[in-house]
Amino acid sequence: MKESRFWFLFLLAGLGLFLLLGYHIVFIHLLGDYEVNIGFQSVAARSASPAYAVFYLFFLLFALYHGFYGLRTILLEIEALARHHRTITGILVVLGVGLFVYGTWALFAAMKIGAVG
Amino acid sequence: MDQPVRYNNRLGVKGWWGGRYGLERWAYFLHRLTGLIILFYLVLHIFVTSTRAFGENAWEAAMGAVGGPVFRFLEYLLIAAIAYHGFNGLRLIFVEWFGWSLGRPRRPVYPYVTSLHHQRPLLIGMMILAFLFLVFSAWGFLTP
Repeated sequence: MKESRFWFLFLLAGLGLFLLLGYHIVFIHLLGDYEVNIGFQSVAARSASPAYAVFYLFFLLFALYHGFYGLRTILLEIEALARHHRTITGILVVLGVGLFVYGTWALFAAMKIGAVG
Repeated sequence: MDQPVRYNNRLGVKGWWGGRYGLERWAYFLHRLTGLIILFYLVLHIFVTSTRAFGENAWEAAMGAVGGPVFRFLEYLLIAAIAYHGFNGLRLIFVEWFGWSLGRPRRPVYPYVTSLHHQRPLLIGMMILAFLFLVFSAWGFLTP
């Protein structure tokens, strides 16, 4: 895929994040009782909901892609690192995919706990 | 014939500051700085919130470790970084994707006209929105 396509996906992920993160901040952190919202009972109830699972899956995907692509852009502007762009990209892809796999595992493991709770 | 003067255009992080930069350059600098802070927090947040998968005790222990007024204030600073990065990022999407506020293309004839005059109102408008979001957030974050 061309670099411009990856860059376009970076913009798309940023736009998606603006909406999803905005929703997350407003409804978890600002509206209602924050202590209740982050209490285990509320968290377990949200975790059991398939709609929330899809929401957080996209949230995780957009955040990791946007974040690590942005970090790659910053790193490759450093001349000494730009020579090793394949290695830098490879390391960031492994880190990003690893975090995505771990986050997705936690999402589905919590879904089971929430359904039981 | 004199050799042309070469400038190092790939200063990397060193090129973020040091120079007689205008408002847009500072917006660029802050956008990258806040981006790095948010990415660092995202990685921590993934590990902290994943503790819910290990049951109630693990979750309560994690929340206990990152609770209290100091962390609440730090979270508010993070919200400030997110508000800035989000609204400035939205401006960049408007400019780079949709071509908003660039002005009409014109020949480079003296006296030169910069497109910054067209772009700056959008920057200022977005910063006002970010500020309003921060004021709204302060009510939710900093009030007991």
